[in-house]
Amino acid sequence: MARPRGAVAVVTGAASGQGLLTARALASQGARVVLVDRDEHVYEAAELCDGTAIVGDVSDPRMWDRLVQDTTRDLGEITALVNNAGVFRVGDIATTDPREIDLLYRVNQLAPMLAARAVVPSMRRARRGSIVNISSTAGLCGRAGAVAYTATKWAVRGLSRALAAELAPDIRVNTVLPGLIDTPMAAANGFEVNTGIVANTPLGRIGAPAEVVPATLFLLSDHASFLTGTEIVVDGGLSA
Amino acid sequence: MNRFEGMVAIVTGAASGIGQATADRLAQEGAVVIGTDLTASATIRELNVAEEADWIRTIDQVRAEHGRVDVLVNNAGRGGSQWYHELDVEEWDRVINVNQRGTYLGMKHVLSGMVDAGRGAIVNVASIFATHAVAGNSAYHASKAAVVGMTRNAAVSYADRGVRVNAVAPGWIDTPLTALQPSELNQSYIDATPMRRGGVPGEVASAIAFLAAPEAAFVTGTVLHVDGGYRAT
Repeated sequence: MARPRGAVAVVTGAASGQGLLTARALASQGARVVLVDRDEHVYEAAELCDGTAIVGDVSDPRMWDRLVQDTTRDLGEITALVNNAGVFRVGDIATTDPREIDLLYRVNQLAPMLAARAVVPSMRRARRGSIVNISSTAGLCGRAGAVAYTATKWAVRGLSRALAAELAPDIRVNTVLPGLIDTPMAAANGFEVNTGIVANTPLGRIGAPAEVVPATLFLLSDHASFLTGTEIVVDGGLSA
Repeated sequence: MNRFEGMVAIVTGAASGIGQATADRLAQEGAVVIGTDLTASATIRELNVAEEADWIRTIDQVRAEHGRVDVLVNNAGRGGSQWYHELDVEEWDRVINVNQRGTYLGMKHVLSGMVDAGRGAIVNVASIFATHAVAGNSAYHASKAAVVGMTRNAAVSYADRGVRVNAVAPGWIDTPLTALQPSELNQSYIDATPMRRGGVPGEVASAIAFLAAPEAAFVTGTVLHVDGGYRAT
């Protein structure tokens, strides 16, 4: 996909899986990539992308202020942001530890908002920018046993749409909603639940992380120049 | 990019606007493209999407010439601006026949071959008005909502046979179809679009190409809005 020269992209949750694949794909298109993760493996991941690694907490506004300051100084204005970091937990709402609810809220819902807040001034200076937030098919329905996760993923959709309205026309904001994707996160469901989800997925299989990346890249690219506030569902037909 | 190398694609309503841009895009990326429209030309085959006999003839020809159909883009469409109380049945039928019946017939006649091949991708062109109401436009809204319903049903029905079915929902796009509308009406859509402009056909073609391409292998039954943020607000 065509990317303007000088693209500077920030990808969260980039130490492994879908985030790392996204960062690598952006790097292969010529973007300079900043990889953020709480996991120190992000250093190795950054080497694969010839990028910059930042170990930090995406729900900490000071982390974002520093990231934007350092990135704009070293690489130039930020033109792409992928809020990919996420946590997933299952459990009965009545017995869920409030700290777990807080964690889901902070990483899945608060962090993309703080990221946008911090990065938007740089994108405005560049007079262009594209933000992709990763929600989930959990953001399209009500799922038993994952109340907090579901609520945060619905919130991501609202965040994207409100940002799209506020930041148009120079900055586009879109959402990718993966269904069941073969990642460590999905393993938290347990075998039985995942077997049930696959049975309900019209394509009859789990998705690969590499199948989510093209949707993100398309939305970031100039080919998606009239797409903002929209959603690409990558779920094998699960939500159809 | 050469995402469609070696593939055979049919695009209806390909003489102008979104259809023409889509045919061009798929061809640029390697596809053999059969463009159709109501009137034949050097690059366009005649096909009235509402006529089953036209579909049978066209699909037979394409199979004879190229062996198969990998991609179908049901783009041919017709506008209709009237309110229900003043819409006569003949006009209702004209709009429904092109937008809804035409999409059904297109899917009907490519699906058997796609099922036999175990692969295929269909992209139907819906509209923001499939889900968003503006006053008037009664038959158009109805037909485009039907396109979304048919897309979801076909996606679920044919997924296990390797066929993906998706839709795009364009917002206000600068095409010969929209150019016929009153300029105040067109301006009102642009004013309601956060990007404060209309889209160009190539921007819809990009979304159609994404959904039709092998890289969207896990995407089916979805509706992708290409609307400058119209639906988001």
